[in-house]
Amino acid sequence: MSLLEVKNLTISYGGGAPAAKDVTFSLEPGRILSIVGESGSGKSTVIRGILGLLSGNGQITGGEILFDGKDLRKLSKRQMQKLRGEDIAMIFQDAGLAMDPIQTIGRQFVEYIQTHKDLSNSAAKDLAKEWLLRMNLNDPQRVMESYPFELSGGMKQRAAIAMAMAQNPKLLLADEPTSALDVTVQAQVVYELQKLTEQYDTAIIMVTHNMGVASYLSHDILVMKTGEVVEYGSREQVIFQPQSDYTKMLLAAVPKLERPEEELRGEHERNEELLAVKNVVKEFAAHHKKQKGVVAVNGAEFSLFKGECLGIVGESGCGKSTLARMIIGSYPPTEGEITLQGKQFADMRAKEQKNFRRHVQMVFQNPISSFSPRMTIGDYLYEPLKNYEKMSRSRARERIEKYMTAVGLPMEFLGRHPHELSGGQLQRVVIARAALLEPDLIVCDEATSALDVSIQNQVADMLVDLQRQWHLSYMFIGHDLALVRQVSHRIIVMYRGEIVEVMNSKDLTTDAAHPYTQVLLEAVFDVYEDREERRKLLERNANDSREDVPGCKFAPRCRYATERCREEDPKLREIGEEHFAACHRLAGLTAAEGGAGPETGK
Amino acid sequence: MYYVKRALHDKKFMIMLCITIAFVLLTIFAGAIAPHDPIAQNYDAILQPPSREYPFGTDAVGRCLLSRLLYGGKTSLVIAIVVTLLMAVIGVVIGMVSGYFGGIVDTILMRVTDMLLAFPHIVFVIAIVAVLGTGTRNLILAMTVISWTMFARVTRSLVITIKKEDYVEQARLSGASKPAIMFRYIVPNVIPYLIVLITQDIGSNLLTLASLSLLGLGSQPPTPEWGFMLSEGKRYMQTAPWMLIFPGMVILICVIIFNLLGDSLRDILDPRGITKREGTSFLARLLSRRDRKEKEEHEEEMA
Repeated sequence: MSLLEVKNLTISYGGGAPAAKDVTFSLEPGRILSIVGESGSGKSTVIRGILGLLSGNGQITGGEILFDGKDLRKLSKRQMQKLRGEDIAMIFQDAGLAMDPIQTIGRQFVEYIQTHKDLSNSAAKDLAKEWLLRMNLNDPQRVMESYPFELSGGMKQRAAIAMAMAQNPKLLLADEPTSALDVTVQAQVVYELQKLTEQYDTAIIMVTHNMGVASYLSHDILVMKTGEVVEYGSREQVIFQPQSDYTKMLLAAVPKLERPEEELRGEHERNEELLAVKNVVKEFAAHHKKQKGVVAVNGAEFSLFKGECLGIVGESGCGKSTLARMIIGSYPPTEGEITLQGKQFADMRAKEQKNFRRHVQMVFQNPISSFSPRMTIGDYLYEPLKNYEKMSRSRARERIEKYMTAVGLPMEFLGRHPHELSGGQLQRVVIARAALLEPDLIVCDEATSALDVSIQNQVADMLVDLQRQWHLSYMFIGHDLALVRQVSHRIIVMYRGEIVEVMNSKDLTTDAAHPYTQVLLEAVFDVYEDREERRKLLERNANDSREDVPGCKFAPRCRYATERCREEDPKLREIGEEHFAACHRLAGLTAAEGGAGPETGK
Repeated sequence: MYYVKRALHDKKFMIMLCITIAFVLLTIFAGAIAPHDPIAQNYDAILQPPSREYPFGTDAVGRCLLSRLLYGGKTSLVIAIVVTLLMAVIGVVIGMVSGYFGGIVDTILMRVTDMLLAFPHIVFVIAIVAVLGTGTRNLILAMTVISWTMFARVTRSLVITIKKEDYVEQARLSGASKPAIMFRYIVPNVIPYLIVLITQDIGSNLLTLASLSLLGLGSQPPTPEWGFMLSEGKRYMQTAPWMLIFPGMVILICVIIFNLLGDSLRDILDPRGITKREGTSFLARLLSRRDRKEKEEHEEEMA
């Protein structure tokens, strides 16, 4: 008998159209089922329905959920409560939000254990520590004493999994457990989940939009679209012989690192320097005297040429957004200079500054928060034309129409409010507005990260098209290497405030030299890759130390690190044609081999 | 125009608006409607229960309660509404300036606010009225001076949150000037949150006014005023309950209506419906649930 059997499950909110319709699947112990689909497909609704945790007016209107032979819909509230946590546990997308911010991890953990098991405080603590260790958190005592905000996203997610697993549940429900994490951390969490099923025979249902992760981790895959099951079958079937067009579309939309030569951005002719960043440092002062200030960007130096698209990648907290904000003039650098066409923002008078702003536009990560909820799309697009060009509404309309057409949106949208549009459409409007003033530079800060995979691709392609058409210059910031590569000519890799590698994006997969770039590359899950290979990579990159050393910041995580790396900070130097990296090892290699390329990731 | 259209389609709002207008009209035309002179005493009809002659009964000196309530609206409602509007405007402006500019301006304004908040309101009002003397104008002045502080505080914290939103940054990039950002981006997003607070304050001002009248600092007898009538009625609670019931009812209805009016006004001003869930008053929730049920029943019938 299966552990979990869901038959014709139908769930609807407030008596409306069902958010999930006729969902049927079954799950054996020790197996992983992935539910994939885009936002609004009802994938989270299904697993919340299983646990009886539907929000607000959600209601199961039909079907059966058999867990261990018991029909969950017929259980009383108390029986369900006992089941939750004991037999079925759940982890959420953002572990930080799922934890109580004013209690230490230890207290929450112990309380959680004691609600289900009759254990003394010390016994519960021991159990907690044991599980934290198993989840690869090497200093459980420190984790137990920390408050959620003191831990990184990856550590919190691992602590959350440890909590969920401490009761030895038979079934673990994971709602986008890796989506809020950096790629490298995502890889580690995926690895932990995989080990769990192998060691404890736990069955996992994982909701995700990442096809690569689903493909690596799962035994079975269920594809959902607008509440309906589009496809359900074993991983091999769904990935290699997809039947429905929707699955095929999802698979095709996965950003791929490896692309045919003609799809890659070639080198860009670098004639006219547009933006020059020289030795820029940004330090945020500490709130208390006892704390140290945070150095967000440390000695960044690069230039961007007219018509070029420069990609910047790195994990959260690497300083890429701080850099972007300094470039648009939101705040001044602590040291160094940023010049756009030879002029420095900090030197300008207020009037000039205002004029400067029109030449640098920005696209933010979250399209919804880019709009005042009370303004129409038309007002939003008219704003810059009114302010800078003093255009009348009727004259502005022409210009707006040109750009709305370019981003593929109808003019009817002008009268609508932001909440009436989808995220992808909104982001197109934002891009249209950024381009509207024909600026010198558009800074895209994670411009596609909040969108669905298929939309991500469309927006990225559109950016490339617009650039070819109008010779725009972009600074494209992201954490998804594949996507950044798709858009940019050159790529800058940052790690903890420092630039560690600069290279042409076409050479990324073949010539990436810095160990961190390699780790980043290896963290990208590909749908069709060999699972054994992936497993080896995961094992190899499991180290996530953020210990502070005087030398290279990456040294504690680096598999090549030597004593010198820990003590002396490497400088960014040329290691190949138009290829720079900050690494002692590479500098040594190039010196020894007379400038030949170093060992690469592949 | 968009909001006017939304307002016209909002049934709940229109009902509340009609009732409010009716109330205002009743007070304005009190002279034409009231059956008796509100201060004429009739010692033949002391403490009479409601009758055809005196629909709401009479008080201890034989004055017609209905007439007094109608006339009293003028004093009570005018003071309560004017005070609320004044303090909302002052508080919102100070809060906006404080939150938007920050720094030294913020520090100075907020310390002044703290100073005023440290006094118990009623004591402060009594002190001011005692110095300036009684009268409608002085009363309004005294109540306004002390009570804008709460609005300033709330507005400031809202402004600080909204100031950090991406769309404000976007507006700056598209060349919007500081006043434009303040009035076109921040104010419209702050107001819906404040509206409930403001309308609720009309109610609490009515009650403050009542306690001031009781202390002899509000309107002077025999001028009719709701709060004062209520406190007079307390003495005759057992023998003539109508003296307490009718003024009480009128104040209650007013407070509820202003609350609901604020609630639906906020919903209208918020096209996305994000502010709707939080902070909706119990009554509004009850009402909207009824709406929904009726709608569902209606749909079932249709089916």
